[in-house]
Amino acid sequence: MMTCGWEVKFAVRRRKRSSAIMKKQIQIANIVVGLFILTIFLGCADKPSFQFNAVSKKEAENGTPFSAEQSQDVANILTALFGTPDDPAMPNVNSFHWYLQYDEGYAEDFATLVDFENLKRSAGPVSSDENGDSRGLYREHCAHCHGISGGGDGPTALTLNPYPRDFRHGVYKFKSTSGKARPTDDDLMHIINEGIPGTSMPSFKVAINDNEKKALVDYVKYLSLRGEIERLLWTMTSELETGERLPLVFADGYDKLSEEEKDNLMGWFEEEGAKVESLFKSWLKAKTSPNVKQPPTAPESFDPKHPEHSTLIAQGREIFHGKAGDCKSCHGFTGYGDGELNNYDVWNQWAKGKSDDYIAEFVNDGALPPRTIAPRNFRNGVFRGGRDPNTLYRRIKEGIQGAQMPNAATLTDDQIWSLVAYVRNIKSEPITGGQSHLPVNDKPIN
Amino acid sequence: MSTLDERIRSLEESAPLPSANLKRPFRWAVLLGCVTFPLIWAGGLVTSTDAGMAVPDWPNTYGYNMFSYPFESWFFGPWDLFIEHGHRLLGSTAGLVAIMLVISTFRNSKNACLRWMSVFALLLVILQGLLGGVRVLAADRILAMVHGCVGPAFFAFSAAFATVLYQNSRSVSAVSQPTRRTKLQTLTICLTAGSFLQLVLGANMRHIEESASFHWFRLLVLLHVLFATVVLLLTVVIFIIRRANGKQLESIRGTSFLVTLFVIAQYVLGVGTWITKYHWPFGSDQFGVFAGLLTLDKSIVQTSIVTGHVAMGSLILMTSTVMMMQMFSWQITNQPNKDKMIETPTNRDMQVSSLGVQA
Ligand code: HEC
Ligand code: HEC
Repeated sequence: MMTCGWEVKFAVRRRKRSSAIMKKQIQIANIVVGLFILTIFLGCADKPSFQFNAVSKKEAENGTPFSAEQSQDVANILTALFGTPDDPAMPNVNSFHWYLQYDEGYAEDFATLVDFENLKRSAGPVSSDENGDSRGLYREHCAHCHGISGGGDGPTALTLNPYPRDFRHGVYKFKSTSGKARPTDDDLMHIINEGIPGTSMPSFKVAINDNEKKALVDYVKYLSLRGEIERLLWTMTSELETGERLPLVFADGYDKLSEEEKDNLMGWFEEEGAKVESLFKSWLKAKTSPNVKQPPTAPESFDPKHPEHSTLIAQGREIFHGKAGDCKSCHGFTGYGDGELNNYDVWNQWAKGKSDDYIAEFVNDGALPPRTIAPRNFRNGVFRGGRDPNTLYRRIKEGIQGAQMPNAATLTDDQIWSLVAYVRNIKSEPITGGQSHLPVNDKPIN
Repeated sequence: MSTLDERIRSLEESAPLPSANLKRPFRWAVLLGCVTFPLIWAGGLVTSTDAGMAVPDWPNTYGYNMFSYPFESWFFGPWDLFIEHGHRLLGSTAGLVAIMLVISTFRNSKNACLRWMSVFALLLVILQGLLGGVRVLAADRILAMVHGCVGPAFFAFSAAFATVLYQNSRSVSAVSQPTRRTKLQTLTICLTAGSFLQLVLGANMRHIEESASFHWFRLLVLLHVLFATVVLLLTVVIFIIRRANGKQLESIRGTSFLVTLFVIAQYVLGVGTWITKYHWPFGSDQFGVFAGLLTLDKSIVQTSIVTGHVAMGSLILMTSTVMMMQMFSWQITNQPNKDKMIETPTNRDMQVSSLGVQA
């Protein structure tokens, strides 16, 4: 008989197995069918609804959970103000006119913060009509990463690094405005257009047209504002006595309130309104009169062909490593981004210095497992927010919000320009001169 | 063990129908497969370009009967309308071919099994059309997913049916059977099951609900990668066994080669799909190659890789199904009372005897 190694083994076992084989096959078939059904049914999720910000709620609770009514109140207020993912509302545009009384001057402008039509186009389920006009833009393009509530916790989030942006803090990294100021519409538009290289934030240049992008800019702002007010409401709830509730309780939206309830609501906002108002105002300011400073012109030696260019770089190098700039403490001696590895960004700040048990509880309640922030590795020569000189100048001058990179308040214009020249050059700088590096990078130093 | 004489006698008894006429239904079944494959591509494009809901009604297209929808507004309309309506037209074509397959099978064979198989194919194509339609009307993702899984299953089924018809349209001696089958048969069954499971997992990831939990999605990803590796190993093992057994496994030579090729390509496409959609998952700062990579949503590269991955998945399912079918013999006896398909393990002896080797 012609056999080979495999054959022999089969021949020996064959008879024993032949009766069992049918059973085996049935078993396999069962497992497959079972898994199929399992995946289908486990995969089912509820109709999208806004979820609580698990982290800020839990932080506000600080160990003693809020009562069901207290949580329900927050949900009701948010629904009354902002509607649902399928049916958005914008307080000042639609039903919410306490501002008319609170602050005459702003009332008109608030209506321009976002275009209500844009919200409606972005919200809801995905569909499109015969002219190719799409609806449900946010769910079509963004929600699987950024999440229905804009918490940066969409289904893909855990498998991405860095995590998608949590819009609910109103904090953005790559923007043109100073300090904590909100980004302008153009900044958000720029992100949607160009994406963020080196991260999973895609460029939507070809995927969607300009009107759709504008609609999404407004929706991002809407989610941000909603998220910020939610965080504020949790803080307010945490200041209540036990059993006490926020002084407005309504379930069906502002329009359905009785006059008395409306008065109550108004009164409450008049007390607490300043806080809410400041959130509105900061977004409005970024839209109408943003604090965007034009960088001063670069020194002549910034031009790589200029004979003094290497002096400028050397100056930048000194500042980078010296006391004045102290960039190395985060970005590392060699620029590998390995200087400070145990810091948390704004979105993960809640985990800083906490025990594993504490963190596990948050994760149980729906928080993404916290990650430390990675300072940029300049050896790749990639700048996620853009590498043109003006953008980099701004980035260094203003720092990076959320990422904990401080602003360069004490440095002069020229010093900052030299840093811009230097960080752009690190990529091609040989690693010499007895620089040490930290354990994370295993690249040898010459 | 019976003697060689006895076995040859039993073989004669179970000799197949003279069945050159089965070549016709065979050709229809092959045509059905050929129509189904581009249909799956188009279906994949419908999802990758989010065109699924470009036509809100069904079975009509914007109030028109599907077939009378003005050519210009379809062909020169928005891209997603073009894709979605085109997908519907292709689907109807598949339905027509399936009807022809039933007619041809009923004309050329009295065999109940063959007839049932052809009817089953038609029912499946109808079910698939309905699923697609209801998916549009109900705008339902779960249905979209089932629709996405039944498509390839149907593709595989028409190929399996074609294999059965093929075997029956030839004389026994042309079908060489493996000498030692059991283990290899099990492996091919596992491979088919595995590639279908991969399709289901893939569809679950692709149609993930936006409100689904990130833990669930990650589990799907891990399982998908795990079973991808299992499927890869299976194909390689089958490939090696087949090579080692040379002539005796000649019948699966082509399919085993193809399936190995496809699975390797599929692995690469899978990695490509992830990277063009979601970037490098471990952070790019320490992986210089990816540091500057920008994912461009709906770029031609992204769309082709993703659709290629989806289409390749059904190609693998189809090829492994054919290979699995080839591992068995589906000859039909011509004994009046036993007019049904039986497995004829005796075929191998035929071959042994024709080689003149003593058992
Ligand atoms: C594949 C996942 C993914 C998709 C889809 C996605 N994003 Fe992002 N997005 C990210 C990640 C990851 C970041 C964070 C990058 C970082 O921290 O450097 C981000 C960041 C952002 C930022 C913040 C930028 C900043 O300056 O801080 C905005 C705004 C944003 N995305 C908007 C959108 C919009 C609008 C869409 C839909 C059109 C979208 N994203 C789709 C992953 C995604
Ligand atoms: C407290 C730590 C810290 C210090 C100090 C610090 N950085 Fe950063 N820097 C970061 C982090 C974190 C990031 C990454 C931000 C992100 O997530 O994209 C970063 C990113 C950058 C980027 C990249 C921006 C982009 O578009 O990709 C530049 C440029 C930069 N830093 C320059 C500097 C300079 C120059 C100094 C010294 C004046 C400095 N940094 C000091 C933490 C720091």
